Amino acid sequence: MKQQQSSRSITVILVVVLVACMLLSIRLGAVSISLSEMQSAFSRYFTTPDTVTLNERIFMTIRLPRAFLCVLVGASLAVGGTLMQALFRNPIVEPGLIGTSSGAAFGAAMYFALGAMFKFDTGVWTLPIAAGAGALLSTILVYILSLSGQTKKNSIVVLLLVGMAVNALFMSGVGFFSYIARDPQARSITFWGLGNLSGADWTVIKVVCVSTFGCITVAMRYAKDLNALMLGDDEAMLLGVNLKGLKVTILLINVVMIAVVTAFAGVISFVGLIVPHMLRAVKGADNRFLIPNSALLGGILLTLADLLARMLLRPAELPVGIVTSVIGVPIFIYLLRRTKYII
Amino acid sequence: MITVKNITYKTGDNTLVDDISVEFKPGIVNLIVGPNGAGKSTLIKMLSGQMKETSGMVMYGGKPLGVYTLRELAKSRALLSQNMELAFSARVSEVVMMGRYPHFSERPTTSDLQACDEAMKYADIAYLKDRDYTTLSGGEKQRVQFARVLAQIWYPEPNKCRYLLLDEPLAYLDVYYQHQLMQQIKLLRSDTLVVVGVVHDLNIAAKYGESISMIHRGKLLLTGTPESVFTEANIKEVYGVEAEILVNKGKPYICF
Repeated sequence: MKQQQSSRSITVILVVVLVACMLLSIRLGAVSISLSEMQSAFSRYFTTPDTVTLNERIFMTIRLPRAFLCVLVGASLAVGGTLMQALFRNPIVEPGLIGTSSGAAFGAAMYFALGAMFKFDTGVWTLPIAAGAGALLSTILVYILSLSGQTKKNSIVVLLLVGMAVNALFMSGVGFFSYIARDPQARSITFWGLGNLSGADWTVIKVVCVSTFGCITVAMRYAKDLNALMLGDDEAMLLGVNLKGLKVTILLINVVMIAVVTAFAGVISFVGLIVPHMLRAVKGADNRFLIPNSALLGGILLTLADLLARMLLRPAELPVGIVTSVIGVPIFIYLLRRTKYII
Repeated sequence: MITVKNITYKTGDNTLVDDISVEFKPGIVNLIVGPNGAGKSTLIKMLSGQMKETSGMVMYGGKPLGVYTLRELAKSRALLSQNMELAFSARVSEVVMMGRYPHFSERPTTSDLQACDEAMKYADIAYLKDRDYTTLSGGEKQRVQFARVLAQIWYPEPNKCRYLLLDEPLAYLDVYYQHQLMQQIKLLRSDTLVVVGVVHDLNIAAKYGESISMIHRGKLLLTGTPESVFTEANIKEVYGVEAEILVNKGKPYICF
């Protein structure tokens, strides 16, 4: 009972911090927006759209969607990291590990390089679709290649190694496309590979919202099975866990979540890696606790990272992936040195 | 009751278990012995459902293993092996609670909590319950695993047997705890509990086993009381060593 209470109070704290970070990130920027402007924007935007001031417009069409996108992307990346670490029973796993991110980057690079050459464009959705397709392709490739010929079973070690190989393959594909692309496109490829949250609008939010909440809801149903998996494949099976169903479902959730956020926000690293570490260091490895709370903490971290990315070189914007890496690496190394994880 | 009918397990050209038929009854401690590579572990893994037999059949209470769902099976069948890994840190009480996972869906009920408490007391590890499992010694981990397995099948179900399988569980225990564990298992005896275990140490088997099955090169040599199985001739044939059988507290004692 005491256990449950303390995890509930952590959740409450995270929710409060998340809301505070969102408000801060909406308020600050090239122009600052006051709380009263936020209030009046809500009432006037829907009733009398003609009288909306510039600041109110910035709030409704730029800052607010961006804040939501940050939270959703951060939540997806962090939950993806939690799920992958639980599934692979390895604390150094990231959603990108099984090829998902590099596949998405490959799809995007192909779009940037070839789209410009062949004047191929179907509007704003082309990039997300290309990235999503790349993510699916690479993940399926990793999954199929890692089915070992003899037993048709997925061994975790094989999956990790194949993931590394496929990652290398797709990243060299990205390199190839940057090489053949013209300068502006090559710059887009690089820029997108570092993460970019400026594409937020309400349509994007809707899509990401459905994927994030849908995937987290499904993942919660498997939290207990993922706990049992900590004991090993055999032990989990003896506790009634359908291993194949669990692995396929969790991998699929990860592909959907990561492909969607990578498609709209580019490649953002380290959030998926460090969030589960931070939470485990506080409260142990119960996935029923980790999954919802990593969503909250992921949202917080990415909101703060994005705020920094916008503020440091004002009015220019740093790619957010640079900030997450710069913050993430020292935290990760600190956590690794402090806790004695078995790797 | 576990009934094994003509089971065989082949991988490639090797036959690891060759046409074994045997019955394991409730209320007694059934132990399987045999030299390295005789097929003991393969046999117990087929009994637990971890490995699928090439031919033949394993039956729990008269029904083939295949008709039970994984979850149903998990409620009445538990296996203690020497695998003690835990990928991440967790409290001992949570590890024991994993044994109850097949019994509840969201939150543990009071009976789940009670089963864990009682199992931890029975296995004599209640004092470890708030410790981080990954910081325990090998022997402590093994006893926590024993409590987890006990919690899994702690309550008898009406008109149903429970099955406790052991796959060489003594490896990380010192002499004191080896005997303690075997004694605790023996004291669990009940008309609704089938105990089948693989053990290495012949004297442990002779002391605690009531029905011994001796396996040699994938085949069942014989099943019987310790006195009838542990003879100088059988040990010479199966292990290839000269042994002398003494009597210690009414049980055979094998001197090499």
